Parts: sequence; C-alpha cells; structure tokens
Amino acid sequence: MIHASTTAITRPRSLDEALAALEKSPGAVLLAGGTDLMVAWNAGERHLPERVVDLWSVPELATIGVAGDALHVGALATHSRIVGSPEVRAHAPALAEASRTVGAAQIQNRGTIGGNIANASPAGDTLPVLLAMDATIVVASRARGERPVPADAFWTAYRRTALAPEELIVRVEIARDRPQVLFRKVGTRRAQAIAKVSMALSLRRSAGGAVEDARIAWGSVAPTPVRARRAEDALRGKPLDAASIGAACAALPQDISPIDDIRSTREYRLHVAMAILRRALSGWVG
Amino acid sequence: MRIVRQTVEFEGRRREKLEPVEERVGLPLLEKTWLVGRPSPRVDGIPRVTGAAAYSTDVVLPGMLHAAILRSPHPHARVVHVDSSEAERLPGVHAVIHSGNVQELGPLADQARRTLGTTVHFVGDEVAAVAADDPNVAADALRRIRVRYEPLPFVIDPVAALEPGAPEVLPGGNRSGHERRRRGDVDRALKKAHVIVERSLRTSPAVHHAMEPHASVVAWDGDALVVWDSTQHAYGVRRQIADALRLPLASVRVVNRWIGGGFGAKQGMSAHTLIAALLAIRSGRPVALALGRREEGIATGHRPATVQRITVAADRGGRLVALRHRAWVAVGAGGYSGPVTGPTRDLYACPNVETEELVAYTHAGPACAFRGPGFVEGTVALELAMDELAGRLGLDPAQLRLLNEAKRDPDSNAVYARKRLGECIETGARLIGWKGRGPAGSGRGLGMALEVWGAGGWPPAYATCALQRDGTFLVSTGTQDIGTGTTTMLALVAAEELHVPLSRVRVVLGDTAAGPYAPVSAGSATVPTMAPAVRHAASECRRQLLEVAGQVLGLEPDGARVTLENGHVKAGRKRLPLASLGDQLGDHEIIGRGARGPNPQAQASVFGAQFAEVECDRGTGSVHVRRIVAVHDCGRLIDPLTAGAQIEGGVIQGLGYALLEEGTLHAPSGRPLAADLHDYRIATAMDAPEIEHRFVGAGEPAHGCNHVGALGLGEPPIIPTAPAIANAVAHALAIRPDETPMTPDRILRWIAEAT
Repeated sequence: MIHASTTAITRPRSLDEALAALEKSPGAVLLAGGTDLMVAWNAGERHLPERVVDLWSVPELATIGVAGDALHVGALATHSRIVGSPEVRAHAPALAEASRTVGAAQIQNRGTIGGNIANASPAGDTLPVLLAMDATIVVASRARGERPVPADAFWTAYRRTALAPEELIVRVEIARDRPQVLFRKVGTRRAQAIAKVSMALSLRRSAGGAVEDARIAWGSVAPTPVRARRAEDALRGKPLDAASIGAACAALPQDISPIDDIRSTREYRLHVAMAILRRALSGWVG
Repeated sequence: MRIVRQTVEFEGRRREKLEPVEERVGLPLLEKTWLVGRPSPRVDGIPRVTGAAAYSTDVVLPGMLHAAILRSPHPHARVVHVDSSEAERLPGVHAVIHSGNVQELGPLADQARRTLGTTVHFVGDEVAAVAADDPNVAADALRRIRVRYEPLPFVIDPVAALEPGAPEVLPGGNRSGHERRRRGDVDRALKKAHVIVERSLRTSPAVHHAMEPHASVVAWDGDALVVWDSTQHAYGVRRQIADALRLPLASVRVVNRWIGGGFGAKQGMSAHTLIAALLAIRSGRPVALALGRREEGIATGHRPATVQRITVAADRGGRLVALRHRAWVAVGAGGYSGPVTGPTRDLYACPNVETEELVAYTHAGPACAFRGPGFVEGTVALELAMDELAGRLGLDPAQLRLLNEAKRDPDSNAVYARKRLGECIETGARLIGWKGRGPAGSGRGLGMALEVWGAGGWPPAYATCALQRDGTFLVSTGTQDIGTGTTTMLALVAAEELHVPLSRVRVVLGDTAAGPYAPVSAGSATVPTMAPAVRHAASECRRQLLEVAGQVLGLEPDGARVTLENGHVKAGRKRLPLASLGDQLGDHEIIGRGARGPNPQAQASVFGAQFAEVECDRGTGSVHVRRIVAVHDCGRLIDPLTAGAQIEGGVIQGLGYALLEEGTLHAPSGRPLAADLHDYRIATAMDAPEIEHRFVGAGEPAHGCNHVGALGLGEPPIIPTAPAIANAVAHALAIRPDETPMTPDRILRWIAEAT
C-alpha cells in the first residue's frame, strides 16, 4: 500500500474559489462531510490523494430553499439538515425519509447529499429517491458554468458519474409538482444499516385510475442506482390491478441485476425487491 | 487454617478442589436487609458517563510511546523474511520487533517468539510491532515493514479440520478436545421412545466487541513494572506478566480501575499486552498499545462456530427418555470452547443422556469465553428440539418443560441451592400472554426457552475494610468492576453490614497495589465471590470497632452489648457518632480483613425462563422482536437496577446473536467477512425490543451457597434469548430454523423448505 507522503488541502471559502481550485487541479478529490472518504482512507481502501479540495466552508453550496417551481437542495446540505428542513418536508418528504436512514446521527450530521450523489454507491440511500423524483443534478465548472444533469443520466457505471474532473455538484433541483414518492429500505438491521434493497416509487394516475406515469427506482440491486423501466412499462396505461401489478413484478428481474455480497444474496434481493414492489403497488392509495 | 474439599463451577464446568479456610470466615446467612435489595444508582455512574473516568487508553505518561501491530493477511503462512530497516529509519520510531530480531531481546526472546512467531495461523495473527512517538508514525512505520510470506493450506470448518489429511493448525494435530459423557443407555431408550426429534444446527462465530477495546499501557517504575490494562483479572495479568518477563510477582502492579466491558475476551494477559511490555523493555519508555475496532473483530477472541446434532425423545406422556447431543466446535488457533452440550446434561430430568464434543483447532483467531460460553450455543439446539417435541406430542411447550423439570442436578445429583424455575416459567407465561398463543404460521409468534448456569463463585478472594478517622469506611479489594456495577454492589454490602449510609463507604478496586487478591470477573462469579468477602471484612471491622467503642464508652470491654446503628455506636442510652470515635482513635487503624469461604455442597445454579414475541415479514424475511419477558432467579438481589441492566444487556446481546451477528470467515480466503462494526452488526437501540424482567424471590437469600445469599447474573440472561426468539420465529412462520443468526435470507429459505 503506497500512500502519498503529503496531501495538499485547499479550503475554498466561496463557490468561485472552489471552482478556481478545481480548475487549477482537475481531478483533485472533493471532500465534504468525509463520511465516505475518511472511512476509506482510514481503512486503507483508498490511497490518500495528492490534492484535496475541502468544500465544507463553501456557503453557497449549503442552502436549501424553494426557487420558482423547484426545490433546491445545496450539495453541502447534510442529511440532518435535510431531515429538519420544512421545505424538503413539504415538497420532497421521501428525501427527508431517505436521509433519516443514512448511518447514525453523527453520520447524518456530517454526510451531505452531494457526497451521497458523488460517491455513487449503488446503496446510496438518497439516490433512488432522486431517480423517482426525476431530480436534476446541477453541476458546475469555472470554464463552462452550470450544467444540469438529469438524475437518470448521472450514474453511468459502478461508482462512475457524469461529473467531469473540473466539475463539482452545486445542488439538486426537484420540481414541486411531482407526485409523491414512496421510499422503502430493507437494511440489515433497524438502524445504521446499509441497504440490502431500497426502492423509491412514484405513480401518476389519471382520473379514471389508469397509471399515466410510473418511476420505480432501486438501490443495491445493480452496479448503479437504477430505474425498473420494464416494470414501469408494464404499469403505464393500465389500471392498478392484480394483472398489471403481477406483470410489473414479473418484469422486474429483467430490470435489475443483484449480486451476492457481504450483506445479502442475489436470490434474496430479487425475492425481496419483488415482494416490496408488489406490496407497495397493492397498497397504493391516490 | 483447615482444608476442605469443595466443588467449584466455572463457565459451565465443575471440578473438585481443596481449599484452605480461614478462621471466622463463616457468618450467619444475611436474612433481613435494610439497604441491600433497594434500587441504588451506580456510585460511579457520573464519571463513567461524563468521560471523567480514565480508562486504559486515557492514561498518558511522560515520554510515552504508541505502539501498533502488523498482522498477517494470510490464514496460514510461513513468515520467510521480515525487513524492518525502512521502518526503523523513520523519524519517531523507537523500537520494532518481529520474528527476525527477537533474539536481541536475550532471555525474553522465547516469550517474544510465542507471539511473533515464524508461522502465522490466522488472518490477524501478530507478525511485528512498532513503538513510535505517536500513533500516526506507528501506523506509517507498519506500512514500511516488508514481509515475505509463504502461504500454506488452511482449514476453517471444524468438521473438515478433524478429517485425516487436514492442514495442521498447531503441531500435534487439530483435535483440541474430545469429551464424551453419558448416563443411562440412550440406544435402548430410543428403541422404546414414543416420539423422537432430531435436529441439526449451525451457529456462527460471534465477537464480543466490548465498547472499550483491548488496551494496555506499560511503564517502568524503577525496577518495577506498572501495567494499566483493560482486563477482567488484574491479579491474573500480574502473574502472567511476571512469569513472561521473569519478574518477581511483587514487582508487577496491574491497574484496571475503569473497564468498558469484557464479556469474556479480557480474562487474562493478551498478546498485545506482552508486546507492549516487550516494546517498553526495548525502548526504555512507557508504551501504550490500544487495539483498533478491526483488531477487536479479528484477533481478540470470539464465541466459536459450532455444528450440532441433537436427538430428544419422550414417552407418550411427554417425559424425556433420551437426549443425545453432539457438537463440533471450531476454536481457531489454540482457542477455547465452553461446554456446548452442557445444557443438555444439566437442564432437564432425563435418565439417558449422551453428549459428545469434538473441538477442533482451525485457521481462525483463537476463540475464547464469551458470556455463557457453550451454553448459549447449545441451548439454541436443545430448546429448538424441545419445542418441536412439544408440537409432536401435542403438548404446550411450557407444559413440556414443567413436566421435565429436574428436582436435583441431573448430572451430579447434587441438591440445588435454590430452584424456582417453575415459578419463572409461570410468571413469564402470564406476562407475555402465553395463553393466547395461537396456531403456528400466523406471522406473529410467541416462543420460550429456559436457562441453567452455575453461578456460585469460589474462593479465594479477599477484601479489607478500614474505619477512617472521620467515621467513613474504606473497602479495598483486588477485584475489578468491568462495567457490571461491582463497585456499587460491594459498597451496598459493606454499608449494609456497617449500618451506615452508602455515602460513608468507599470501595477501592481495580489495582493490585490497592487491594488483596480477587479472582477473575467471569463465570458470573463476582457477586457471589466478592460480596461474602466484603461482608466478612466489614463484619470484622465492626467487631473490632465495637470492642474499642465499648471501652471508649466505658462499658462492655468485649463489645457484646454495643451496637452500630445509623452511623453511631450505641451502648444502652449512650450514643457516639462514628466520627467522634474516629477522632478519639486518631490515626490508629481498625482494619477488618475478609475472605470468601468455601462453597457448600449445594449446586449453585441460576435458572430462568425467557419469552419472546416476534412479528415476521414473509415478504422480506425480516424479524421484529417486539417484546422479551425475562424471569430469572439468582437468589437475593444486591441492587435491582444493576440486575435489570444485566438482563437488558444480555437480552440485547442475545438478540444480536439470534438475528444479526455473524463473525464468519470467507471460506475460500480465510479472511473475516465482518471485521469491523460496519459489517459486523450488533443490535442498535432500534433493534432492541421492549424488555420486561422479573426476579423470583429477589428479596430472599438463596440457601446453601454463601452467607449473602446471592448468586451471579452476568451470564444467565443471554442464554435463553436466542432460543426463545428462534422458537418464536419458528412459531410465527411454521418453519424449522437450523442456523444462527436467523438472517432474512435464511428465513426465506426455511419458508420455501416448509411449503
């Protein structure tokens, strides 16, 4: 294991300074709450990098608020602040619910939504919610300014994202007129658990009860957070009944590709994913 | 002194022992109490929760170095070459030791080789150690040590380890132990049995993970050695350190004033303590060595994995006619196993019993005692089988257990000091609502299990009690409070005997220089061992005090009609506050010395019944333990608050064992799959059920064990929790669990098997 003998840390005090620092050393490791990086460094799972940009003191990244018809959640908003934010609770309660299941209280005090997104773990608790909400992840670089990336296009492969080396995540935007999202997490215990399977589900139905739109997003069942598009298709245009629910559950295995790992097995994840989808759809109100 | 023969039970195993007995050690049984038995908050609770208490890792000495250990990444390998030159050149590094340079330790080289050998036997085995100015330099230095290993074949399954041709863990073969015990004729009884149930069970390794990690600080004080150590046995570590370093016993002092839990993993000198001592010798500086959480997870002991088969058979009426229990136990490299088949011998009346334990060394960290060792693992198998037997007989499980209650110890035929297990079962059944237990398979389940555990303590153990000139008392003993409330309970016992408020007694423990010998805090023995010794010391102090007081008051030179009441000496109408007596005596000391007397003949077992209510989710396989009712009988309670805390801790740890904790090694690589608390899942507050506990006969002393009438409670509460939950899960889902922990994926498999 080779460690850099020195690590240069930059502590920008504004977004401009942060973008400038990143332009100067593209690919520098971005540090926010440190709940993923510090663990990996301490465990020797990741090498200490040569350059770190510590974003913790960039005020523009920490705001949560409503702008026009969207909820804006700054990348540096901690899970604790998301849980406690009246705006998030009003406009995206499932996001608050997902943040509440991240690690322990101490982790929630340090861990940020931007970190959750950038770390790109398939088990990231907020990620399926962002997919189900059709959120936009706004990134920025000094040269090109802001660039909106739909959540659908953000996680490109296992632990890979659409973020360019000179870019950082500024905020998440969630439209306020989105249908509400149901969040389910099956962890290894009742608190402080990494998800074995997580699901975020939103449905829009017509006055007649037919499903107009469905977004069913999953965590821990594929290399990235994923949507179950075949299952969504099985519902679209159909009334929510035993036939369409059965078809959606039957389609699900084609959408996801769970694996065996320390926390669970492929077989278990498939079974449970189908069980929680069936249960969520069968009990759907509204 | 006279010599008596007595039976001592430690961690489920009994042996005969000759015991010298001091004069006047016997006191009348403590019948009525005015203080003992009342809920008393911990006398040392505030420093524990505010951080004021200085645990071993908090000790900082001038010039102290920080040590770290390089551990093997291989389950079995020869250490071909160690190159530490780069590490030694790193500024701030003061000493590096490993198998390649231990000869520089001269006469201590052999000791060092036992820990830093040329063969490593498990992932996490010690290879080298450094001492440096700070922990970061020490960690950097470890990375600069180059080790060439020659990997060797390894074995981690206990059954495979005992097969011919299995890779040898230690010279001399992999069979660590093979114990067969029998009474009656099981084969004949099985032929005539009405119902026979056969079950198999696999249990996973479980790791203690005490809140405080293992830590030692070693420093020279002239030619004497002082060791601050997080240990369950200060005097034991003192002897082992003195042996290892060839120092006179009197030149070693061990301090374990504050301890954040042990659960069995801190019973003696650990490898890291010896390493810290060797580094202190090598560097001539004080050395601190605290293990990290991953090291706790892989190298400080665990409850061993077992593979078990059990047969239980009954006649038409439900009386047990035969029990046969066989267990394979994987104890790692040179580890220890508790008696896994012990509960099968001890819990129920049954004339025909056969047990066999095959204990195998494997290429894993050494197993060690863990709260109720053996009995926790074995009771799961026994009680699962008992429930199935009840089902096959059409009997209520509680009724089956009552029917087969042993009136005397079924293994030794000894009379019990006290047994009110029937009352425990009936109380628990009422509290959990057992009568409303519906048919199996509803998703909601009720289950129960029993426990038996020998918790009578033993001699030798000593304490002193000294009157101070201000009228307060100082109790000194070499025992330790590993987090169980020993300090509080011993203060209560002394205050009870001296008839003074609790605030007038201070107990000093956790230092071999401060108090006389006391045994290991293990085997649920500290209360039944130390409470009588302290009561004896207080009683001796009082006797001398009254003699003196009688003369001071000008009455009763023998103190016969002088009494001690509420902090005053009384003789007739004369009253004298203790402080005035102390004043008159000045610095003359009145010291009572107390000793633990021998064990009487009765079998000092603690019994209990636990009931679990669970809700299971067929879709996800998850189990929600809603409620545990725990009813135990451990004789007189010294402090109901502490006793309740033992129940809660035991139940939560037992719940983790039943559902969550899995310290398994990865079979292809021999590496731990859950070395840290990220992957090794202990129960959180959210997982903890509502726990309701009761103590049968809490205010009455147990007879025939010791003169305080108290038995131990450290281990009993964890023993029935996992089997009670397992039986509740089996009832909820109509399944047959055959493995612990009962993780959701396994539960789904059992559901599939049942349909």
